[in-house]
Amino acid sequence: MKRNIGKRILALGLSAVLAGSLLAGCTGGGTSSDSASTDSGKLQISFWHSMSGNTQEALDKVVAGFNESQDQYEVVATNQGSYDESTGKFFNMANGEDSAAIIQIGEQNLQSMIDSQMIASVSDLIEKHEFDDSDLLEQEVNFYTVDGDMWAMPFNCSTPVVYYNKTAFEEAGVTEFPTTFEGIKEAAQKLADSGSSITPVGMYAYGYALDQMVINMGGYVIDNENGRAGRATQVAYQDQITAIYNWIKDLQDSELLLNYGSDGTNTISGFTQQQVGMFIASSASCRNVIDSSTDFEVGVANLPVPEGTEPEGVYGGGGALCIATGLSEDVEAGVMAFCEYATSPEVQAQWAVDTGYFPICNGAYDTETLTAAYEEMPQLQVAADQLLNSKVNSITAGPLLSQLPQLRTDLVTALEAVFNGGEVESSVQQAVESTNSAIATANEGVTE
Amino acid sequence: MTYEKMPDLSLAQTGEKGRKKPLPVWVIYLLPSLLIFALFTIYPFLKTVVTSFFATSTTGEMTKFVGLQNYIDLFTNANYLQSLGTTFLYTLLTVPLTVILSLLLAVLSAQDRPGMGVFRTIFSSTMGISVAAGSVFWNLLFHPTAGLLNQVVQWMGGKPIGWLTDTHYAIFAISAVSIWMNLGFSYLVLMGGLKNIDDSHYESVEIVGGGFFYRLRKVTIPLISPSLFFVFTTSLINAFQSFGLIDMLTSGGPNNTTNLMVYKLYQDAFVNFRFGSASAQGIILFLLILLISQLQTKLTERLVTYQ
Repeated sequence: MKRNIGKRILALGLSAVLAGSLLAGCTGGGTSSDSASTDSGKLQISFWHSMSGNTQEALDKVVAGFNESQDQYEVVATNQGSYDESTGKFFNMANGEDSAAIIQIGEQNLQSMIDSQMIASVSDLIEKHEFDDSDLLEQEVNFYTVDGDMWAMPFNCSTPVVYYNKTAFEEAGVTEFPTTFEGIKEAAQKLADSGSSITPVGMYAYGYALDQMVINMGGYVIDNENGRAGRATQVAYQDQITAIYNWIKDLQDSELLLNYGSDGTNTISGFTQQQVGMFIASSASCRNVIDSSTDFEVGVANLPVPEGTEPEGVYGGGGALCIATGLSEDVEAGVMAFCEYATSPEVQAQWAVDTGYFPICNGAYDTETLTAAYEEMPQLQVAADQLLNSKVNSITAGPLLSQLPQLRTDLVTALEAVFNGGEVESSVQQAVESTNSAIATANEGVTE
Repeated sequence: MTYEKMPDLSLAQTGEKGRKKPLPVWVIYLLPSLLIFALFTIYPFLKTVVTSFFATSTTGEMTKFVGLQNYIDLFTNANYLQSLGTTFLYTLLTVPLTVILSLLLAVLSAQDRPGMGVFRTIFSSTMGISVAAGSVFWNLLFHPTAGLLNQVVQWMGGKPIGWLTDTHYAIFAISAVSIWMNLGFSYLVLMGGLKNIDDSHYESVEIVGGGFFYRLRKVTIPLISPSLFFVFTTSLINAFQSFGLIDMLTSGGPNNTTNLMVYKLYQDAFVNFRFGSASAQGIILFLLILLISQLQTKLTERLVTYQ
């Protein structure tokens, strides 16, 4: 029995150690990053972002630049996966100790973030810290402002654009790249007739581009004026989406289009290897596409509209920086200092040149960095101009909806159905029903 | 006799220390795992059950009791029903083939002959490949225009196939990759089973004069039936819980034809933040797996022989 008791004590001790260490791993293991000081005495500010590959390198450059520019704060940037993943993690952390002080979101996450009540009004902070916001692009401010409050600091702006193989289209006799549905079909036909081995149009189902095309054609994506006049209850894009899908179906039926499913990376590699002649993607890939296309010249053009439609312009999508609530005064001041640095003309200009995002402050467009780069790579300027020339109204304020990711998934699914020979009408109808029921479910959980 | 005496002894012991019975020692040994199990499995499970009856805010707070509405919505939602069907199809496509192929490979490479180690290493090698790495590799092969598979198809005079973009092919392409990925593990388990079979059984077959299939049917399969049963059950559960390949290769597309239950659940919970509905999907998935594994155990119990 003595041995038995000894065993018991041992087992108890071991289990206590094991359980203890496991629990410790969950709660106290991580380093506190949102308000801790480093060895150098700098206040640490945690910054979650979703940049990867060469855009991450460019972002790290911005962060390093800020950290060197002053000796009070140190911003620690960590990649937390896609915008949607990062937002989900942010919600799970409930603004706890290890959560982010600054989180980069995509435009589709704005409503969810506001609903979570976990982010501070940037307008309030701007006022409190006497931040000069007069230089910010009004199209950007228009998107991120809801009921008079701006909820995120514009940072990395992009819009979808058309990329095309300038060399191939010019050889086929297309000197001015068209910006209408009909014009693109004509140009595609010319390229096909020229005996080139390139399939004229490559396309992948890309939700962001689809809802921007709806806006560009002058339509609301969702009701209640894009969710700006009140919480949206259903989609409103039917007419425009039907026209877009009919155009795509027509291109496909004429054997001018090759679909890449919903895979943007494959589309880009298909384009750079001269297997397709054009595609639609975010301008954020601009630098990457230009650098990878070594054998031909890349052209960039505005999103197309049907003939006779005046383009309305696009909304200032891309990413922006949300700021957590409940930060200490010190951290808050540091966050605003970082925002000031990150939105300053020279930093924005360099960031734009490195990536293909475009500057969100007017001053950046006058910098030598940017004017020189636009001279060398005029393609970068097209995307910026598309936004700068956009009208500023409730349509181009863009959709405000917590279920925007769902809306885009449903549009992608519908387009994939069309790619596979489905009827446009019924595919759009399915997307409408699916999104509307998701909006209803989500609205039920909202407490206002 | 000694066993019967045991309770008396401990009783005497407790008598000396006071009335209280000591905690049985097995409880102490189980405590750590029970604690962790309760914290990380039972608590979240119960919480999921509760959440499934609520409407939720974007942060997952339960804001309004809706009863069975989440469940009713799911079973009237065409996308969800399609995803259920797709999951069954995917399971049917992958599980039997994985087991049969790995059994075949195991039987072929079980004999100890020179050079067999090379084959065994190759056959079990997919175990060492992560889903992410495997997906990237297959994504290159499946590339619509630049992929090796389509180059082969074109070289043989065919038209390029949209492996992951054509609704007719995607689920089969995904299933093939899944079989390839899971083969290594099944192979290794079955190989372990084969190695445990005593040579004397095979000698008996030789005396009777049975051939390859006779040996397979009468000796090998019955004797590795516990391993087979294990592989079959784990493959089944894995198939129902498949996520990584879908996330990396198709994102549920084209047109939802590869939108398996877990992927849809993930999307609804962590991309669209509809936690109530996602919780209901989790519970349905749990019940489904419970039901099927019970059914499978009942059906195959008789066929499994333990030595």
